[in-house]
Amino acid sequence: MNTKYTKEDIIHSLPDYVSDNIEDSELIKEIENVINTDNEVKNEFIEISNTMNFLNSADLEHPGENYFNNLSVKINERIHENLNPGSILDRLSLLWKILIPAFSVLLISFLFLSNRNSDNTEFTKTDETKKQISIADNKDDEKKGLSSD
Amino acid sequence: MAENNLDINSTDDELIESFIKGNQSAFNFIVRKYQKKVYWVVRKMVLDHDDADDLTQEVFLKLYRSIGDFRGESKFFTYVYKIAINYSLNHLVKNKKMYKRKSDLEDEFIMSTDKIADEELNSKEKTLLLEEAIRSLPEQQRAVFNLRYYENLTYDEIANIMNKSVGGMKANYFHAIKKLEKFLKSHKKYDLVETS
Repeated sequence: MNTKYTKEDIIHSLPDYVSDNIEDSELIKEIENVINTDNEVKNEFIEISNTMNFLNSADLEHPGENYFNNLSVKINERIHENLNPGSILDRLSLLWKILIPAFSVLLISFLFLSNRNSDNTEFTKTDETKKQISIADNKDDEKKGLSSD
Repeated sequence: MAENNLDINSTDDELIESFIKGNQSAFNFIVRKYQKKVYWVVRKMVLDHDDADDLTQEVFLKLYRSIGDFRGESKFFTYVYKIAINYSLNHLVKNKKMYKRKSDLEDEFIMSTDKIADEELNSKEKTLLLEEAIRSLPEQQRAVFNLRYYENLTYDEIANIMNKSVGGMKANYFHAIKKLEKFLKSHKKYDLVETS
């Protein structure tokens, strides 16, 4: 074997040799020489050739030419969306989306609280009235007591 | 070159210069020039069309934002591929669990096709087998394999994209082919392809 290339160099170059991707003519000559003289390298060459044959014969599913006609449009839209994140109206509408539910919650809370307060006032008023009635009753009793005396 | 004379065949330098000067349509030509290449680089990394579609758009968005940073030290297409590969690698790492589950399901399908005797692999089965074979490669190895086998880039260009040594990339490519070989051998139907 030529000292310029180790056996490992030769083996690692086999995939490129099989797919005809080596420009260095000296390396090509050396690979061919080793394939003919070294059984291990020869077997490696056969196995790699089989793998590459399969790879050449199979392909991923193509999305179709129309897809690429629309892709550039989608790319431009994505760029536009990212660089101009919504007009003033869009941003306002977003603001409304937050403001309306927030306002509704505040309004409901306010109504609920004010309703509760008025109930409390009602209770207080009733208590006050009861107190006044009982005072009046007491006074009447006192008067009755005095007159009986 | 005057802005009006630009088209998809203009050089990368002309398109970039014109875009940096404010000509938006120059970027449209860059998109049209590279969209197929970017899509296929990403697709062969992530394998799923919808993911590839989304990532391709992200790659061009990134390119739109960062094109001013391109210093011309390397070829423009390696700069574009670098973004595409980085986005694909990040996506694969983020979605590792999901891909593993999907792979298990597809493996079941391949196992079931193994049972069909004396029939040549049809193109759909070959596509599925190829997908699974590529999926069996670790992310970095997958990137090197795709860039070398499908994109025909030199090891220098791949090393530049991957930020690794040239020797390392050559060894990576060889090991990727061996790994694919091992995967294909483990599927009975592949033997039929060999002998047919």
